[in-house]
Formats: sequence, structure tokens, C-alpha cells
Amino acid sequence: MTLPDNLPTIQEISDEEALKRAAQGDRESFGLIYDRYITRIYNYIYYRTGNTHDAEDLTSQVFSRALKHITNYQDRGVPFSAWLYRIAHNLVANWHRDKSRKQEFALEDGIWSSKESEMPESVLLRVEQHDEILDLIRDIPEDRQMLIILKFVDHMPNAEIGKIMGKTEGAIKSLYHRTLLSLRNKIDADGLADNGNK
Amino acid sequence: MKFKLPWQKKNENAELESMENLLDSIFKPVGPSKEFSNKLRSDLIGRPKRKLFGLEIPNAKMGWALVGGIFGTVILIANAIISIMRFAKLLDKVGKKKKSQIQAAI
Repeated sequence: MTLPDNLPTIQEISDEEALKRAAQGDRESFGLIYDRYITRIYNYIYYRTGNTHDAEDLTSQVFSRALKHITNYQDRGVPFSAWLYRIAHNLVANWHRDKSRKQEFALEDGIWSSKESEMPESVLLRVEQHDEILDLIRDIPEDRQMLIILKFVDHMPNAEIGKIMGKTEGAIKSLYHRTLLSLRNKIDADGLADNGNK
Repeated sequence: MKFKLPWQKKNENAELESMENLLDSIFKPVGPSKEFSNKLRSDLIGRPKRKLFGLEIPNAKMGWALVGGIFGTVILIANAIISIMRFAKLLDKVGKKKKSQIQAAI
């Protein structure tokens, strides 16, 4: 992906500066924001929906909506990413409301890391186990799902997650602790514990 | 607050650690395909604008139209100059002819 020569590189412009320019109609500045957040937003939506097609569709909607409303964006001391995640969160919530069908994971989606030495049967078995655990995760409250995704996919620290979710670092730590314990109990109850840990 | 004995706490910590390992093995960054992210980028932002004689060219069609317009204008001006020169030459010829006719009459 190339940028025009007359624009500073991504590292040189802060989110705030890029936002200011984007709000004034500078599309290239919006492009910088897009480049910074596309992967994170896509990952979040992907794990919430469970398939590439809907993840792409909803990611497009998130950025279209952000572009449309960028002039209305007000800096309230929270990071810009929180605004984008909020849009993504709302769209995913609507999507879940609209479609109650069960999502399926395809092997070629490439979520699962597999060692080359593993036999296809064992990979398939693990994919099924992970699929069941992901289904369990999709049943927990939405804020907990968001926390798990930000923690394990984006590897964000509690403080940053707190800013995005509008909670204190302590509240995130406590919520994380409770989420892991409740997941553990759910997995135990479903008899996935032994298989899931392998 | 629920009271927990030391060994219960130890057990809980081990459980949390095993859960973290399990989730770590499940969640991997996926990332959108290059094709998708490039297409969405160009749909939202468009391709980087090129400049020709200080003017922004939004797309190739516009660029060719501008080049065609400039070329057409140059040809038109050149033709106008040639026509004026020819007309001047013609006037000069007529003038000379008339002069020679007058001189012959005298």
C-alpha cells in the first residue's frame, strides 16, 4: 500500500492530528487512520461473528460509518479506537440480533495454528474443540467477549482496554478474573476441559 | 467477600493460568486479506491523487481529457496564427498586385 509522497508517514502523524485533518475532509488522513485500525477492527469483528464474509461486510460498514460521521467526532478524552470499537460493537450486536443462525468455522479460514507434523485428524479434532469453546465464548456477555478479544488477539494491557471499554484498570482486572473463572466453569460443565487444554 | 483457604487460592490461580493458555492457543490474530483491505481503502478514500501542471487529477480518464484539451487548444492557436499569417500574406500580395497595376497604368 503506497501513500502519496507529500504526506508524512504513519508514524509522524498522531491520531488527533489525522482526525483533525480527516474531519476537514482530508481523505488521505482518514486513510492513515484506516491503515492503523483496519486489522484490529477486523480481528474483533471476525471473532465476534466467526466467519470471514460477515467480518468483511461489517468491517466495511464500520469504516464507512466512521468516514460519514468523522466530522461529528468529539474528543472526550478517550482514544479514537474506543469510538471505532463502539461502532463495531453496535454493528455486531445488530448482526447477532438479525441473524440467529449458528456460525460455522471453515478450516481454510486459518485461525488455528497447527504444526506441520500433526496429522489432519488431530488438527480437525482440535478445530472442533476450539470451535465449541468459541461457541461458549460467544454466549458470554458482550463486554466480556470484547475484553477477551482485546486481551488475547490484540494483546492490549488492562489500562488500554479500560480506556476503550470506559472502565477503570481495576474494574477490567476484576472483570477479566471473573470472566476466566466463569469460562472455566462453563468448559468444565460441557466436558471440554481435558480436550481443550491439549 | 467469599473466604478462600490458601490451597483453594493456589488451585484457582492454576486454573486461571490454564485458561489463559487455552485462550492463547485459540485466539490468533487473523487480519483481513490484502485484497479486501486494499479494495475497501480505495472505495473509501480513493487512489492517491496525481498532479499535472499543478492540477489534481482524480483519475486516468480526467488526466487524458486534460491532456487532450491542452493539445487541442495548442493546435487551435497554431491554426489561428497560420491562418492570420496566410491572410496577411494574401493582403500583401493583393496590395503588391494593385500597386503594380497602378504603376503599369501610369
